[in-house]
Amino acid sequence: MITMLIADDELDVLALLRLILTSDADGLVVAAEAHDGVEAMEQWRLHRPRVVILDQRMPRLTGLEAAAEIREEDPDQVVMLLSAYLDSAETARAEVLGLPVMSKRDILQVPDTVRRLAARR
Amino acid sequence: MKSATPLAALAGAVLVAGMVAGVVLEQTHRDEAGRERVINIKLVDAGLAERVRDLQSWIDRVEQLAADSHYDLGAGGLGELLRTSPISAVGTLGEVAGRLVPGTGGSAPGPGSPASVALTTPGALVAAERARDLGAPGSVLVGDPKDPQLVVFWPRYSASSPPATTIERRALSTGWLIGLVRPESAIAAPLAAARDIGLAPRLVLAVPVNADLMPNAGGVATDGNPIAAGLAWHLDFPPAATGISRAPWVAVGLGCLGALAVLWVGGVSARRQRVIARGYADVTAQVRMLGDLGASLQESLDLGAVLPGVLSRLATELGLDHIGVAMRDGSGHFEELFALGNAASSVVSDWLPPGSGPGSAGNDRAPAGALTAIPLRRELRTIGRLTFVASRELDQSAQAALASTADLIAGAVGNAVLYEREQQNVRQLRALDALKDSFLATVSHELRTPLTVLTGFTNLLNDRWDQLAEHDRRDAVARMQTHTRWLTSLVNDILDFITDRRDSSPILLTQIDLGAAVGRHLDELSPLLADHRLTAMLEPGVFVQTDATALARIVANLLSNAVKFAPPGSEIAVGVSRQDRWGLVALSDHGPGISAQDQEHIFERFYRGKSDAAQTTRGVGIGLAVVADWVAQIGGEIAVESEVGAGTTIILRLPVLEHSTTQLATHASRERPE
Repeated sequence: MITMLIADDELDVLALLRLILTSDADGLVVAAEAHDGVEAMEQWRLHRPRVVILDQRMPRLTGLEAAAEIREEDPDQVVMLLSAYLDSAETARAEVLGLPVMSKRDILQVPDTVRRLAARR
Repeated sequence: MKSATPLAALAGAVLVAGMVAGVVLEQTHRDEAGRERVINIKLVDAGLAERVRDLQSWIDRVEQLAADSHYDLGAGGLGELLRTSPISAVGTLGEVAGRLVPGTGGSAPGPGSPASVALTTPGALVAAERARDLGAPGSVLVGDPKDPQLVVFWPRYSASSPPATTIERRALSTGWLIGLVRPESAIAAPLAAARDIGLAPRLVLAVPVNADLMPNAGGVATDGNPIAAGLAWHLDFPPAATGISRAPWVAVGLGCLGALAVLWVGGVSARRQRVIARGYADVTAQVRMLGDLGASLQESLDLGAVLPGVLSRLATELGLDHIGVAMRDGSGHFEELFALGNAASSVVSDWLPPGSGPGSAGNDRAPAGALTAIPLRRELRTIGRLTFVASRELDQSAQAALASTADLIAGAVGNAVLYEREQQNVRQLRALDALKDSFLATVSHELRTPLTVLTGFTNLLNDRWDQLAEHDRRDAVARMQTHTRWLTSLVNDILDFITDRRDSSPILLTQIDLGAAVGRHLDELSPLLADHRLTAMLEPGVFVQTDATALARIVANLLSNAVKFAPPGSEIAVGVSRQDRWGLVALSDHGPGISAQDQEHIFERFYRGKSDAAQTTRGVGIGLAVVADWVAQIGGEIAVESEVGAGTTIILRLPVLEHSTTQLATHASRERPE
């Protein structure tokens, strides 16, 4: 079983992601959801899920900022960015943090990616 | 100036060469009666030039010494220098409110002190300000023409290094070191020689005779009130009134009788030529000055950089006590752009120079001492004025020069204004470009989310229809519907926004029952309101004259805006009522409210509020701009009342239709949906 935290400020994107993950055949559990970066940090500390999926553009704390904080507290935490669009500075920052980045266009492939990332560790 | 005739020149040259060694004669002529000879000599011999340079170097040395001693005029070297130089006294001057005032250093105050001489000298303020503005010594010739003196102004600044621009020089000016100079003491020997042979030499001009021989010689000056940065003189040598008695003169005179005969013969034509030549020289000098001024004015479109030099040159050449340029602002008042010297009073005469056009008002003479104005005109409009105070009545050529300069300045000012306008256009276009970029970024972001949701759910339903529970499928479709609606409204807004109303369907004003129409629109929009509670208080019989399509779009826009911001479950109230001559539609929500700062801009295109609520809510900043546009088209008004944390009310006012109310009431009530 792979537990997950998903964070996106767009409620409908969050619902879509939840449905994609939960309708997948086996072993994926959405343990927590968050609507902004700060809430994501709180939920992460509370649930310590296996995989964290963050949108980049969120109020209060961006996905990259939240990912950096999480990695600081737990360098082994699996975190990925799911974003509609990253500019060059954001892409570079994600590379520095070693964050896998997925485009929202490929949102249906998120379950496969999650399984692959979780298996690596 | 060239000699009258070669023969006369030769004769004169022989004559003077015999009198004063080393002085070269350039010109000979007779007086009006043709009897008395006046020999006009320009002293340009090497010896004199050297002495003039000596004087200049004295002045330079005084300045250096004064600067080294921080203008402590009691310092040792300076007193010694004064004893041995042609500079007879030094002092200091300051300036208070456009007037020269005595300073604290230098010779004792009182009559004859440099300060009191300067303060009573016409043109001193202009010379001093010119020196200050140019950052170089300036001078003015004062006193009895038979015993002239120069007041030399050395500008002083509070900066450690010399300020580089006129503006800095004005800002850092701390007044002047001044000195009194008797130029004659520098050329005492030739003057004495001239007196010895019965001439009465008179120093009348400060004219740079020959630039090669006289480095540092300053501007051209006119008789009576010359101002020169450097030093050079022009001597008149009329014969002494009583006596051609001295031996050298007699000897030379007898020796040259033949030459005099030639001069007599050539006298009349020489005089005519002289008059023509003098006029020609005046015109040439003014053409040269206008050429210079024109070139200066074209050097830069920054008037602040070129006006000081141009005006001070004009003041110098025409002997003005004041000159200034003022521009007319939008309300017709004149605002001073730059001024030199003291105007002393308000404008007393509006002088239009001769030839300035038909119907020109005012005098054709510029009286001495009066503050006079020349209008600066461009394309038949008066855009400003040139003011001046002449120290003496200006002759025709001086008036013409002022008028031409006014034209040049008007042209330059016009160009500068056009340039500034262009710059402003460029700034506006840049701002618009930035706004467009930000709009495109916002739009693409706003399109991206619904497209992500729509394609995501579509693909999910397509791939896993059977694995999904019934309620998940319904939920997915409902969400897709919301985003489809949002996309539709976004595209409609954009279309409204980019469509010029004049090119699309024209506004059609008809009589409409406002309450009925709004009620109908609310029904149509009910899917939007699924998550909110709607309260409608629609007063019937409020007839307005408006465009039905516009009203529908306005209501839809305002309502979707309220729905966007108001939390789910909260109440949205819509009211229709009548107030005086207006039909009112008020739409209130319990959203986060709008700050006073945002309220000023919410109807501007592309404006997105600065609050968290606005930043995290969808929108591209054109919905309310479109509303405002519609409202303006149908002759209505729109206002916002809001407070952060207390919700927002938008009030739309439409003009009511007074007379046909009753007649239409029945018709409209039939239309109203129950």
